[in-house]
Amino acid sequence: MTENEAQLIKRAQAPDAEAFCELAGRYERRIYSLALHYCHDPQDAEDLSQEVWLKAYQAIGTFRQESGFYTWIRRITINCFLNRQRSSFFRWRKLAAPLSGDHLDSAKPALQVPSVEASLNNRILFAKVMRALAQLTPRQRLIFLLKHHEGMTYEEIAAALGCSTGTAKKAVARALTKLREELNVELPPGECVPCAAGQY
Amino acid sequence: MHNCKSTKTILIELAAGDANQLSGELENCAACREEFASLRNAFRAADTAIDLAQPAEAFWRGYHARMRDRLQNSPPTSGWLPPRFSMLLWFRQVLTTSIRVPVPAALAFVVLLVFSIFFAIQTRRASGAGSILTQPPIVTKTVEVPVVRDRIVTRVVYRSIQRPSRDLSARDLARARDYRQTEPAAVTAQGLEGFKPANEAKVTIINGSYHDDK
Repeated sequence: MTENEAQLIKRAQAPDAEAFCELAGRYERRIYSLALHYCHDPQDAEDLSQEVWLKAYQAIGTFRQESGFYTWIRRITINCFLNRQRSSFFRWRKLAAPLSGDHLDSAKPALQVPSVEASLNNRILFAKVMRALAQLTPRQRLIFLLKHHEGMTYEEIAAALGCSTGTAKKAVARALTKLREELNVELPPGECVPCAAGQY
Repeated sequence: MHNCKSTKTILIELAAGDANQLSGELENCAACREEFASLRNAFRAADTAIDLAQPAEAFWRGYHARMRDRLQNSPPTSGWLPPRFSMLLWFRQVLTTSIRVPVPAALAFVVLLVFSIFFAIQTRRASGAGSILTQPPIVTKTVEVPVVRDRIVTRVVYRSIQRPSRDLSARDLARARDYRQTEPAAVTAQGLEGFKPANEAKVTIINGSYHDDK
């Protein structure tokens, strides 16, 4: 944590809304990205991420700076996601539509429509990845994002989501399987030979 | 290829991280290299797509404005809380905390609770019916009762003494006879009609006689 950030946190605890907004500005894209890929809907992603910042602002007085600010915010984010999932489970099921390339072309205000310069390959790639992620449950998507995008360990993910490390590993493996299916990556034949684990 | 679970996990870990190539035993395995490259491609594709999904710069200005509006409408908790408030916060947290319980376990708990309440009511009823048959216990209580005081009735009774007059003259006797005839009501002696004697009669005797007045 930089000293500047520590000062901003102290000011936000004063409370100072401007200082908090400055803090939020540093991490809002990451939080929004998590929310967007979690719920697969720009409007819901904005609602969810705004809810995260509101809760963080209300609880900023209890933040003791024992961990990093982003770690604290991410914890609030995950709790918000899980609470949202519990409160409106059926709505989440309904929102399984992928963020495809067509979706990018639509008039959704939150999403950046790939510019003319953006290559066609990127559009196709985007559509494929989003289709693959749409086949996962929101929880599996969240685990994949936390592992891959946030760099959390399986143990940290399991503790944050209240599941076993095995569940987290399965979710990541499933996400990779779906991604490779969509990207048409040939899976190598499964020749099983005894593994000298740890000797690589 | 090392297709066992541990190798898969290791390959995923390596591909998700910053490793560009395998080392040691896995480097010598062609299938492992192929798998590793495939995983890295999948992760890179995911990275690209996640970056592409980010909104345009114009979006963030509106996002900030909306955030500021929401924050201004809901003030935060002010700074550090003293221990007393921390305790309150802790109690509030305990009271409002929620735990995830599997539905079968929750159902089993509810059924158990209902049965235990039912059996408790039944047992209570049975014990209540038994107590009707037995003698009720005798309870001794001291109650203060107000006592009505006796009414003391005092009546003065004058005793008239009839003295034999041996030497009454004929003239006195005639006078007395005339008086009785003229004033019959006055002569009638006062009776004790209407007087109800109490259980205890108090008699006050006044010494002396009308002769002393003379």
